[in-house]
Parts: sequence; C-alpha cells; structure tokens
Amino acid sequence: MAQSKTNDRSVDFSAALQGYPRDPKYLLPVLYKLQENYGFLSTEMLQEAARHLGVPVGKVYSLATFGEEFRLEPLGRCVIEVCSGACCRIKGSGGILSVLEAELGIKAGQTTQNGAFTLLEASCIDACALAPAMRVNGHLYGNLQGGDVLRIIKEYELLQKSSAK
Amino acid sequence: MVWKESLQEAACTHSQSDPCPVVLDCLRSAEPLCELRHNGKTPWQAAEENQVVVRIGLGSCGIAAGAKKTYNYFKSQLAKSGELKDRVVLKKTGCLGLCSHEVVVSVEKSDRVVFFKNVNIERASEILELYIQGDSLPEDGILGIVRKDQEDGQKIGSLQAYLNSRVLLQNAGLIDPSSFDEYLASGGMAAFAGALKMQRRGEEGRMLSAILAAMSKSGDFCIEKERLVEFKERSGEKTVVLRALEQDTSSFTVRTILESDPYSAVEGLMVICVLLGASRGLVFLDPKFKNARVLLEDAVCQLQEAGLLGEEVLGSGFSLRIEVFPGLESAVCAEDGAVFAAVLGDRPKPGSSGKAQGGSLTCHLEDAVYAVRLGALWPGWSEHPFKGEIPETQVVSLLGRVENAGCIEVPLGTSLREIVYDYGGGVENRKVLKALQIGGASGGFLPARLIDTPLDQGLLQTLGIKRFGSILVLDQDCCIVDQTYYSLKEMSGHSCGLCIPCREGLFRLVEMLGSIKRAGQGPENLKRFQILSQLEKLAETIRDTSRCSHGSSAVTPLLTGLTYFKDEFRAHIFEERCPANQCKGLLKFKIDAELCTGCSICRERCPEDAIIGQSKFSHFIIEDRCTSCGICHEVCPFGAVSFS
Repeated sequence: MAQSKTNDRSVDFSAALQGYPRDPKYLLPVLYKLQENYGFLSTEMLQEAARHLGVPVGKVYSLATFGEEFRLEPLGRCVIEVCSGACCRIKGSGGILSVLEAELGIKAGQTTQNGAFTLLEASCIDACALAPAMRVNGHLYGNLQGGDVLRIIKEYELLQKSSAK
Repeated sequence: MVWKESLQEAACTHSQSDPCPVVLDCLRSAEPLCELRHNGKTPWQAAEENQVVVRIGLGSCGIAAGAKKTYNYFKSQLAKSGELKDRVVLKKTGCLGLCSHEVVVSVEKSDRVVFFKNVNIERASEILELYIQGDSLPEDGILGIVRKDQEDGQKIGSLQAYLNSRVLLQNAGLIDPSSFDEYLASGGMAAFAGALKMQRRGEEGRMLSAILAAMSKSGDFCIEKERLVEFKERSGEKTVVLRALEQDTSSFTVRTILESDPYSAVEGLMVICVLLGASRGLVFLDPKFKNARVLLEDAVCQLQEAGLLGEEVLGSGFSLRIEVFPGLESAVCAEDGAVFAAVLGDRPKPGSSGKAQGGSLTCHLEDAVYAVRLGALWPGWSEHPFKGEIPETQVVSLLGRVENAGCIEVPLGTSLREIVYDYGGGVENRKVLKALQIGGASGGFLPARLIDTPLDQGLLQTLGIKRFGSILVLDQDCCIVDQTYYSLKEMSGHSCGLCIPCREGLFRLVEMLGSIKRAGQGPENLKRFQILSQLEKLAETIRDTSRCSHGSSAVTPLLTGLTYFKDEFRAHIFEERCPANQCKGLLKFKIDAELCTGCSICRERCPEDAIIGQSKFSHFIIEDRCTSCGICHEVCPFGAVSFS
C-alpha cells in the first residue's frame, strides 16, 4: 500500500481525476480512485471530486459515508485487519480483537495517537481455512491465539522503531 | 490463438454427432445455425502421451494457504531440469472450492488426473520426485483420482463423481481462469453463439422463452416474469446489471465462481443482454474482490479483441458493451433500487426508484451462469428449452465448525445431513452438532434434530429466508445467543438508517442481547426478566414494518433462535448462565496456581488491574474487580487461566 498520507492543501488531486468525464455517475469510481491513490478521503479530496464531477459536496459526502468502503481519516503506518467473518468469529477472532484492543489501547476502527497502528475489523479476508486470521500490512497470519498476536505486534513495533532510526 | 485465425464465410455443416470444434469460427459464418452441443465435461488436454500437466489452484483461499509458494517451487524446479521442462506443463487454475484442502495441486499424467491436497513445498518435492519423475503415488495427501476415459459408473462420493455433478462450478479449479482458449475448449461461448443466432434471425418469441427458462431457476426472486417481459419489449438504450455480490455476509460462493470461471460470468451477462436486447452490461462487483476484478477486466478485454464485444458484434449490427464496476458491498445492495442508485453516483436507498430503473434490470450471478450452462446444452436454445436435463443444483458455502469447509455445489433436495457429513466430512474434532445457521447473518437457525430436512424451497420458507448462501455449522461449544448477538450486530451496522424499525429497532435488540450476555447488577436484574418477551415483540415489529428486506430479514436469527433454542435464552436471562461457556460476561475466570509460572503477561494486560501476584510466583484474580473480559485467558501462554 504505497500512499502519501497528507492533509496538505497544496496537493493537486485533480491529476488523479483526469480521464473521468464531468458526469455524476462517475462518482463512485472517482472515490475509489482517490482512496486507492491516497489511502483515505480528505475533505479536500471530497471537494475536488464534487467540483470535478459537478455535483454538490453533500452528495459526495453522503456516498462516501455509506457502508464501510471509504475511510475519511488517514491510516496508521501499520494496518491490522482482524477478520470478523462468521468462520473466524466462531473460531475465536473476538478474543484476538479484544487482546489487540487492550494492547494498543484503541477500539476497532481507530488509529493509535502516534499513528503507528490502525486496528480494523475486516468482513472477510479470504482465509477461511486458516481461521482465526488477521492481516498486518498485507501479510497474512492464520490459526492465531492471543499470545501469537502479542508477539506479532511486538515485531512490528520493533520494525517501526528501527526504521525510524 | 485458434480463434483469431480465420473469418470464413463457409456454411457450417456440423451436427450433433459431429459437433463444432471451434465455436467462434462457426459463429462468424452467417447461417445455418451450428448444431453445436458440448457435453459439458472437462476437457483434459494433456495432448501428447508422456506429457504431464500440473495445475495449481491460485484462488484467494489457495493463495492464503500458500499456493504462490508451491507454484514458485514447481516453477523453479522445472526451470532447473531440462528434461522436466520439456515434459511438464505448469498451469494456474482457479479454486476447486475445497478450502480446507488448499493448496490443491492436480497432476494430469497418462490416463488419469491425481488431485493432491495440502501441498506445501515438502509435499511438492515428494510429488515431483515420486510421481512425476518416477511413477509411484505418494501414500497420503491424495484428494482423489479422476480417470479420463471413464465418464460414468464411478462410485458415488468419489471426487470424480462430485466434479461431474457440478453445473455452475463445472470449470472451477479445472481450467485456467485467465485463459480464453481454455474456456472455449471447455465449451464456452456456445450459449452466446445460440443467443446471437436467434437475435440475427429476429426470433423474438424464442428469445423470450429462452430468457424465461434461464431466469426461472428455482429460488429466484430478482426478476418477476412481468418485469422481464416488459423490459424486453422496451425500446431505447437498456442496461443489465449483473449483481456480483455475495448472497449473505458469510458466504463466498460468488467469489469462488468469479475467481475460478470469470468467462462464464461475463458470457452469462452477454447472453442475457442479447436475449433482452440490452446494449450495455454492467458487472456490479463487490469492491473486496480484487483478484476477481483483474480477471473480469482481462476477460472483457480478450472478448473485445476477439470481436465478441463492442460495436457490431461479429458483423451482426448489434453492439454490446460490458463494464466492470466496483460497487458497494453493503447488504442493502440486495435491493434493486440501491444498486441503480450506486451506479448513478447516489447514496443507495432501499426501495428508491432510481432514474435508471426503467432502462435497467438486475440479475444475479448464479442465474447468469445458469443461462450459460442451459444455452450450452441447447444449441440455439431449441424451441422449448427443457430444463429437466440440467440437474438443478445449489452452490453453498459450508463453513464454521466443520471438517472440510468450502464452496460446494449440491443437487437441490440434498438433505442437510448429506451436506454436513458427506460433503463436509462431519463436525470438526468429532464434536456433536448443535445447529446450522443457513443464510449468513440474516439467516435462520435450524436445530440438529431437523438435519434430515432437504435443501429446497420448503426449507427457505421454513426459515423465512430468500436464498441459500452459506451454511454455518455450530457445534455444542457454540452459543446461540452469542451467535444471534453478532448476527444482529452485523446487520445493524449495515442498516442504511432510512427507516426507524431497522435503524433503531436492530440497535435496541443488539443492546438487549448484549445485556443478557453479561451478569446483571442491582436494578438491571429487574429489567432483565422482561427481556424475553420484549425481544420477541420487537423482532416481530421490525420484521413487519421495515421498509426493505434488510430489516425484515435481519431478525430471522433471533426469531428462529427463540423458536428452537428458547431454553438457552432463558438460561442466559434467568440463571445468568451460558450453557456453551461462550458468553464471557457470564463466566468466572480463575488462575490455576499449579500451571501459572508468574510470567505476569496477564497481569500487565488486565484492563481492570484485577490480577495480582509477584513475578515468578503464581498470580490470582480478584473476583470483585474482574469484568470477565477474557483477555487473560487469551494471552496466557501456559493455559493456566480457566473459566467456569
């Protein structure tokens, strides 16, 4: 996931929107495109999308807040997705999630204050045979137990510290 | 590539006894209608003797289980050895649907195809050395053996019999999902050929009966006959939206079909477009299906190159465009209006009549693929498409506490017992079956004693659901209240918020169930006793007054749960006891002093500071402070924290 996480107003989002005609029906593809490029949708991006397609900002916002597809806040450096699909849940992903919540001090859907970790509940991460499973920055971890999770989180913490130096 | 070679105008002379080898060549010739009839059986195609074809399933599930590693291992080993390189062909396939057996590798050699399961690198080297280079089969790790020459008469329950019985999934895991040539070789594009010929001849009546036959697959609710007829007669630009979304939240049927056989999905949409005279087809895709999206977009490109899509399809004067459109995943998109709204860039609302509704129609993926299978058996969709000859099947995702989870296709009317015990291999760890939840988060519970119920229309009605999607197996260690709570929470989270029963009612139900999942204190206890009657009353109100099926179906688990497992609800409410020991809020946690080593992992993580003890000495839980969150139990590396 290569993305520049920026709130900088000077960034020109219109480059990403080129190729989309001025037609409201391209709103959904445009939002996906922006999220793909920047990792989340900032207020500026929503405004730019509205201007580009010629629709009211309110309409853009109402679609962007529907369901769970779009994020309106930047992600942390390390994204943890715990699968909460039926298969994983029945095999104990709830416990995994509560351990992570306690360990990181955040609830599912939030990012830690220092921007190191984002904890997400994913609807299904396609690893039913490895339930309960989670994905950290795209890497899959399966057949988890509470202790494994603590170890994995430690590893990523150390990794971030060493890369910061 | 075969299909690019010629644009011959010669009349087709094929008959049923001498079927058309390459559909496209015949399609390009104007008349008469090619009597193509494909037997729908797998085209094993190791051409020459001595050649070996190794196929590795690279669906999402396979990749998660490490299929890429296995694939790369085979690739590097083949590259190393010149002798192997000439003799062995390595291919990628989609997913066979048997998740628990991933990574699945099939080896086609001489007269048989051997399917190996759980192939890691160790197994892979064994297969390579023993079977491919030598000629002896490894002792274990074999999923099944398919003999190429033998088509019938094999024993029931074998892999071969299962593979032959599949209709919608017929190509899944057997052909390369990204190869148009392999799709053609497996009999693809025959249905489209038939539909296009009817269109060329202007046989409106036959087209109508064909589409009705294709769309009336049992269990269908998307399109009513009148709407279909009205849509067909409508003039002007028309769009057919293929709904490539899962039936329910825990199913993965659609993903399996799309990843294993994307061409069938696209052809299905093309067939429906042609039969209904629509010039635009839209695949409304779940945005989660990243692998499927690549495959579908690639398939559309290949079809365009072949001249089967675009302006003037094969010179017929009929133009057809197919677009892949990542839509929204939300369960509200089970409603037509919501899908059209999303396509137009509006916030989806159930029941809203989007502007496009007049010129648009939605159909479900399974119906589209069914249309392809039907059309392939009936060249040119004979006068009265007779459905009886294609067995009616149902694709279901089997998951939960079952030995072999996966996406399987079973004949309609198969009993649930057969599905769980024969196809699924029984309950995990030989535990006792408690219930099945059929239809995901909005599906109903069926107790174990009703397991001989057949999977058919009657079952749908009993449970009050519209389609099968997934079957979740619950054993004795699963709590129905807990399962209901999470199902409702999921549905409540997906509520669009437009109508009050669904938005507020589901929220209240979740709240109430949450409160009986933990021990009550003081005045809360009095309220607790009313909950049983309140739950039922509120659930019925939501069912009857919700604006769309999202709300009315969301309470199904609760209503069926109350019907069949009322005792369990009672135990939670009146005795503050969870019979399955699943609801942590009702459990008492204890540290076993013998097992505890005093590593203090639990003490540091207890959010309530309820654990005391010195390092390297046994720890204790202070009962008064403990909120029964269960984190200590999860993190203890020695299994010293027990509950009762």
